[in-house]
Amino acid sequence: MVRPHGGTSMGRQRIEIRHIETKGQRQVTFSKRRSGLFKKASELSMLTGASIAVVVMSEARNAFCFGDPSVDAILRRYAPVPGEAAAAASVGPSHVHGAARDDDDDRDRHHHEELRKAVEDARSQVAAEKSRLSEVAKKIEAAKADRQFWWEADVEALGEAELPEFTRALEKLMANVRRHADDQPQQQQ
Amino acid sequence: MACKKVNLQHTTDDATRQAIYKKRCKDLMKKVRELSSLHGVDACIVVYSEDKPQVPELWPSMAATSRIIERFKSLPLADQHKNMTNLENFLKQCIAELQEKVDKLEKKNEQRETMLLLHKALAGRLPSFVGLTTEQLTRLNSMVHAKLTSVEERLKVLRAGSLSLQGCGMAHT
Repeated sequence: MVRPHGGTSMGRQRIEIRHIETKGQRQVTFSKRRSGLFKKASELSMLTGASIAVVVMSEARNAFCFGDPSVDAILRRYAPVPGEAAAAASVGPSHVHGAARDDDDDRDRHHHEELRKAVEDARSQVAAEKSRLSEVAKKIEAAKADRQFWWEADVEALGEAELPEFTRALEKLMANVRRHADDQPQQQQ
Repeated sequence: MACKKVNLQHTTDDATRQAIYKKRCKDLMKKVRELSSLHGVDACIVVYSEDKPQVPELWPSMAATSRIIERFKSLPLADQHKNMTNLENFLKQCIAELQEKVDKLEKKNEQRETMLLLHKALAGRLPSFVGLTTEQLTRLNSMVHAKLTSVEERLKVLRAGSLSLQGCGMAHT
């Protein structure tokens, strides 16, 4: 990254490891890094049953935190305020006391596992749509190579003389579609 | 987010679990440190292992962590909770974001596929609609309709343009 008030020579590009300069870039990477951090914390929790709290105070005096089972529970456990210690004891998720897993834990874990599966499913859907996208792109390239002036069906590109012909072709197509639809009374419109 | 093929279930084997915990906890501390130094923000992390629940592991130091937590706690409750998330919500948000991505891509794909159909039909290479689903036909119909409307608009503009030129008495050379 080039320092904002630096010289104009192309050679002087240092990667500033201490503190990222451009505000916009900084915020985007901050957000992404934070998300990655929370993701790693969630993985640690799911894989090992650890209880975790991550607290991040941003430059703009915003706080971002992640906790499993919850930020409040962990902070209470770590630094109990006298009145809260009693309250924490009575709430009783077993891992606050370091006791063995109980039904609540199992239920939570099962629920989290289901959510995690849903994340995986969503990810595969994204992948599937992306490959569909590239398939279609290939077909479009092939169609463009075999070019008829209507391909772009780009109304802006056609001139006054060509547009009426285009209209006729479109209307004919629409009539065909309608006729086909009418011939299929069982299908919903 | 990177898609790592790890089965994120609770590790039942004690030895494996402890090994995973040790490694990942270390990695996590490293990530917090990176975030903190790269962005000049205060950050801390408290971890209670399932196997050693009495002693939390922290980063940075105990003193710094306590300080950061105190600072956090001094914020109004609303601010504390504004960007607070737990495992469940975090996962739900991932799902929501991914779902949005899917919807966007799906829409794009459908639009392009319909465009291909339109082209095929206009080029006379679609002898019958028999193979097409109702959705495909509906979308094709909508697209044809939309094209007709924009052709109509375009013609209006073009014709108005040439009329006004005539009206101004401007001769084309």
